[in-house]
Amino acid sequence: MNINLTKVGATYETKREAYYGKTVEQLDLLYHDITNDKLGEDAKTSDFYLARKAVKDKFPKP
Amino acid sequence: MSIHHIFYTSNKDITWSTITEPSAQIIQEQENAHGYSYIELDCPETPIGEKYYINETEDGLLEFSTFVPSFTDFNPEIDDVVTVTGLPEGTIVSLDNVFMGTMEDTTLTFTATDAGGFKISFTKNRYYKYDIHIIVQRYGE
Repeated sequence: MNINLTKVGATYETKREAYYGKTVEQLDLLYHDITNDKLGEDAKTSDFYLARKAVKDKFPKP
Repeated sequence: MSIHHIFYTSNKDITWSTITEPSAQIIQEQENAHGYSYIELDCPETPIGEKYYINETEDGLLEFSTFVPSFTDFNPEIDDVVTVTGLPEGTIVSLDNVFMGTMEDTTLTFTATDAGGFKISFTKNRYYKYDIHIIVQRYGE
């Protein structure tokens, strides 16, 4: 016997929300897309990119 | 231990009891009006019908059984499957107080379809009710 753990009133929005990664992870994906020129060279001058890059530069990955 | 005077159904379910010895007239009336049988037993505590029943040979008390299930996970992620073992056939399964079905064998699984908390309940005749919560985590949490 199998039972699906389903919420009454669940919608496509709540289902999608549960599948999305954490916000910080999603933003990191965006950051790396910019770094890899997938969103154009200008994106590297955006406030979002520069602010995130500043943090990464301050605390570089060991 | 103390002596209790117990009235019970043909299914051996206890309907009521008293520490005061009932008269022969009361015993007869209970049988005529309700079909209740009577027994006098030395009991460790008040033999309530929510905890005890009369044994097959009608000479003693039996206490309800306790569910002892084992869960593979209490905090699954979306799409994970939780397997439950140790439940007897005939266990009634409820999810958030909604009846889901009666187990025809001893196999039970839950598929984590939505995120959030879920109350799972197991009931069965002459078993203590069993409640537990499973928290399904969002993907990647």
